[in-house]
Formats: sequence, structure tokens, C-alpha cells
Amino acid sequence: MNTRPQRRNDVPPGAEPVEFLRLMWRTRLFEEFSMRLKKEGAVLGNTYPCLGQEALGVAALALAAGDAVFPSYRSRAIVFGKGATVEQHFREMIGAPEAEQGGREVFHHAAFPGIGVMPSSSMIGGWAPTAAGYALTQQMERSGTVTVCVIGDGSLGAGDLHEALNIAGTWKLPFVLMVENNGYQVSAAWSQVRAQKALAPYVAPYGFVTRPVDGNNAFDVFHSMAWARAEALAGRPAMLDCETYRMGGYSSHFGEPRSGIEGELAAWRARDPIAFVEDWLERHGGMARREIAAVRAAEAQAIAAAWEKAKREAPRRAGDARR
Amino acid sequence: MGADPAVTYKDAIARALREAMAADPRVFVLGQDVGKFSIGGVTKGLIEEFGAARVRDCPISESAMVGIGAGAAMNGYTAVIEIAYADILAVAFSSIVHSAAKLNYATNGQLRCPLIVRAPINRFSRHGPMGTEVTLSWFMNVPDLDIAMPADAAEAYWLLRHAFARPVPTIFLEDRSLNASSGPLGAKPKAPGRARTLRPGRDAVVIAAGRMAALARDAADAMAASKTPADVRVLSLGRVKPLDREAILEAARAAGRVLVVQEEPPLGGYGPAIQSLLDTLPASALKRQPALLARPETFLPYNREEDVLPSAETIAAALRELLA
Repeated sequence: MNTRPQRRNDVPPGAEPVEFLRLMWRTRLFEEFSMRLKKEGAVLGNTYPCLGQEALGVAALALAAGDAVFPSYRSRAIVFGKGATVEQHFREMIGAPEAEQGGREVFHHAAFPGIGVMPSSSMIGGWAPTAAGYALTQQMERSGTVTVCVIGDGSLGAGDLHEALNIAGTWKLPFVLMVENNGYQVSAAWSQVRAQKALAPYVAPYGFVTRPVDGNNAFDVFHSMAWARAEALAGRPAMLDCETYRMGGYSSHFGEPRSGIEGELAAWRARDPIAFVEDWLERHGGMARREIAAVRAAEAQAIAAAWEKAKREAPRRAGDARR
Repeated sequence: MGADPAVTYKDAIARALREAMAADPRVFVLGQDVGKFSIGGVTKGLIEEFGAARVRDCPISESAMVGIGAGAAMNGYTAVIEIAYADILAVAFSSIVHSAAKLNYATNGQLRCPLIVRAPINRFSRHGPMGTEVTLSWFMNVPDLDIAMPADAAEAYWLLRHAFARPVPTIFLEDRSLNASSGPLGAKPKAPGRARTLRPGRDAVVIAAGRMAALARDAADAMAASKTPADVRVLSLGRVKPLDREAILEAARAAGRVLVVQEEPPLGGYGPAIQSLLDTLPASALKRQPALLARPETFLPYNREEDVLPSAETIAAALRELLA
């Protein structure tokens, strides 16, 4: 189980590669759009873009409606994958009257409990216990649903994570730990903050089944989440160690804190998760380049329209962002 | 109505917990040694009655226990978390403040967090600086967090019952040195969570919570029976947060002389909060400047912790000074 898998490029059952592509473009274009809004001063909150990590969002497409996701602050893709809309995000960003959080909580922690997107926390790892608590109630109700807790690999240092994993493993909770393993904790490379890059050696002893995942391969992500979900429902909490790379800054306020990463960036650019699915659709999915390009164009148009709508809903608040 | 027999403080807590579990299958208990071996005795018998799924022995993971309670609340459950003793709240502080107390606010009321953290104060257990602390003042400035510190069996029972009806977490600071004290539970209070007069009196009022309120009653009783009697009211806060400002102001106006007693040092806690509240009264409303009797700014030694804590004697002395 823990050997490095071959790239799984076959289409998993239930997978809709075009949906993968839509979700990934929505994510990337939204991140770029919101970075621009922040730069222009149109929104107050900082952004924590998940550029390069968009394929992780398709994990949501392998989940059931009743499954809960506790995202990290860099999990925009899975939040969109669960069904949150770009419009909802813009409302949060500008504190519109209709915003679910009412302009209280920063948008990278926005929760949409009605669709199973639960709160994150500024205390790194602090949402692992809450996710375990939610999974406990799913187990008590025998609801046949699971909770997915998404963390970055930097969370490995947090005590709360280990406390939660010990309990989830011991109690055999319907719990999936999904790790966005991009190898960096803000500016620090993984080797400065832990002894092993892979997280299985840490997590498996708590009673988890684990699987290394090519986090830039949407098919592998989808396959793996379907597997993890089934394992967790069978009483085997699961961990997906999704190897990926952050193709950009840490956040709008920190910018790019890593240095000497030009080689890494070039290597990971060659593994771009969107290009991978586009190539697959052209070669095996029977789609023309023009049709593939239309997916991106439609998402870009929808994002621009959603922003215009959000501004109309709350023009004063949006214009006052610099206050 | 039948008789209202005396119940011990500890049994009152156990009864309120058992009744809540019987009434709602979504109430459950988390703690260390709360199952077959009930370390504090309060959860004794619950595992036989409600099963191991609802009475869960946990690893030594207080932060995760509170976080699990907050996550369970997101799905409509209420966890009652037993912390072995209040000092240990320190390692669960982040979960209490960030994961539990802020949930309702941050989600704009989409998610509520009725969660009860029972944290007994280990008074006179001889556990020293890390095992006998009060901790109440640590939480005073956390909005959307209730703090209960019952002075007697009736308060313990009704405040715990009330905590289950609250949309926010409650830190329930029961005092183990009061466990064997007993009294009738009385009828359900008309306004649960309000301050309560433990003893009427006209000359002065002592405002306190938990063991300090119980000691103030002893001091007032002794003064009433002394050769130079004084008639002192004791107002027990019971639930310290939200603070019952109305009852405090009423009692202060009525008596004109106010002594606030707290078991913690005077830089935080309900003592300074009440003093600043009383500052809002016109100068003519009180006969004397309100006094605060508090522990000096020091930790508690395992040997003779009583030497640094207010006692019935020092409370009486402070009252005599106030009445002079």
C-alpha cells in the first residue's frame, strides 16, 4: 500500500474529467482574480492562493453530499468542489450583507455548513480535533458519511494534530486526513522542520491506512479519495499524502518567502495539474483544443460576472475596502 | 409537592448530568477515567446506564477533547468534558477560546457551540502550584463563554442544567472542597443563571462566587451571632459570566457597603470587573468605597495553601473594617 504508485491515468469510475478541468480552472482563475483584487485594494482580507495545487479539489467529487470537509486555509479547490460558489466567496471577501459569515471571519476560513464545508482555524492543526469530533458524531449516528480533514504538511508539528490522530485511529472514526504536502512551511523547507518528507511514517502508527498520492494528478486524487472514503467507512481511518507544490507566494501579505527555488519551480511547472488533464482530454477524451479552451473562457467569464454582481449587491462596502 | 431532601454538591452535579443524558441521546461525556473507574465519582454509573459510546475514556489529550466537543456541537451534539482538575485547562486553552467560544461568532450564528467543560478546582487536595488553581480569571475576557462557579448544591445542580440550554460553551468550575456540603435543590429558578442571595442582610453585602461565597456565608453567620452583631447579605454570583450586573448594582445600592471576595490575585477576575461596574454608580449611592479581598499575587503552595487564600476569618475582618 505504501509503495510509490505509478501515475494512475485511467479514468476512475464516476470520474468526469471535464468536471475536473472546470473545477481546476475555476480555482486557479479565482485565486489569480482575488490576488489582483487584493493588490488593487478592492478587498481587505489577505489571500492564500493554492496555485499549482488545484487538482486536490477533485477529491470533493469523490465524496457524498453528507460528507464533511474541514479545509485548510489553502484548500480553495476542495471548497469549490463541495459546491461553494465564487459568488459566495466574493460576498465574504467584501463583507456583503448576504455573506454567510456576515463579514466577521476571513474568507480563507469561510464555512458553508449547509454543504458540508466546515470551519478552519488560524491555530494550525486546531481543526483536526474538531474534524474528529464531527466524525465521531457520524460514527455515533451510523450515518454512512465521512469527515475529511485537510492540512498542509507544516501541520505535522502541531500537537493538536497528533492528539486528534491518536483518538481517530483508536476509535476507528470515519475520518480521512488529506495532506497538501507541498514541502514548505511558509519559507522553511520540510527538511528543516521534520525528519521525513512523507507523512505515512508519522501517521500510520496511530492506526491509519495511508496512501501516497500524486497530488498534481487529478485522476490519482479522485481514485485515492474514493479509496480513502471506503476505508474510513469500514473502520479504517485513512491518510492521503498528496505530494504537490505551491506555484506562487505564501499569501498576499508575505509574497514569496522561499529562496533558491527556481529549479523546483521549473520541475513542477512541467507537472502542471491543469495541463495534465487538458492533454488527457485531447488525447483520450475526444475533445478538440478549441473545446478545451472554452472551458477556461467560461470559468473566467463566470468569475468576472460574479464579481460585478457582488459589487452591485454591496457597492458601498466594496468601494470602502481601503478604510 | 414532596419533601426536598438535602443533596450533596457532588451528587447534585452527577444528577444534573445524568438527567441531561437521559433527556437527550446527543449528550455524551469525554474525559480520562470517566467510565468503569470514575476518578472524580461524578460520572459513576453512567457507562452502565448509557453505554461506552456516550461515556468515553480519552487519552491525555485535553486540547483535542475540547476540540472534539466543538466539532460534535457542529452536528448538534453536546459534549460534557471532564478535565481532571482546573489547572489542566491551560493545555486546552486554544481549543476553548478559538475552536469553541468563537464558533458561533465566526460563523455568524450558522454553528452553535453548547459544550460543557467541567473543571474541578482541587482546593485542599495538596497538589500544589499546578494542581489547585482557580483559573476563572484566565477566561474572563473571552466573549461568548459562560463561566459557572457554584457555591452550593442547588447552584451546582441548576447551573449545570442551564448550561445544556446555552448556545455557547460553559466552563464549569466546581470546587472539590465543597463536594460533601449539602442542601436542598429547591425549585427551578425563574431566571436561571442569575446571582442569588445566599443570606439576607442590611448592613453590608459580600459579593463572591464558589467557595468564597460559601465562606462569606459562614463569616456572615458568625458575625450575626457575635457579641457585636452585624447583618450581612451574601450575594453568590453562581454564574460569573455573563456577569449579573443588575443584581450586583441592586445589592450594592441596597446595602451601601460592598466587599468583593475572590480566590485569585487582584489583577483580573470578577473582583476588578465588579469594582469597575460599581464605579458607574453616583458617588452618593454607596456609603463606603467598595473593598476587594483577594489572594496576593502568588501561586499556591502544596503546604498551607490556606495561608494565602481568603478565609471566613479574613472575610469577617474585612467586613468589620468596612462597617467601622
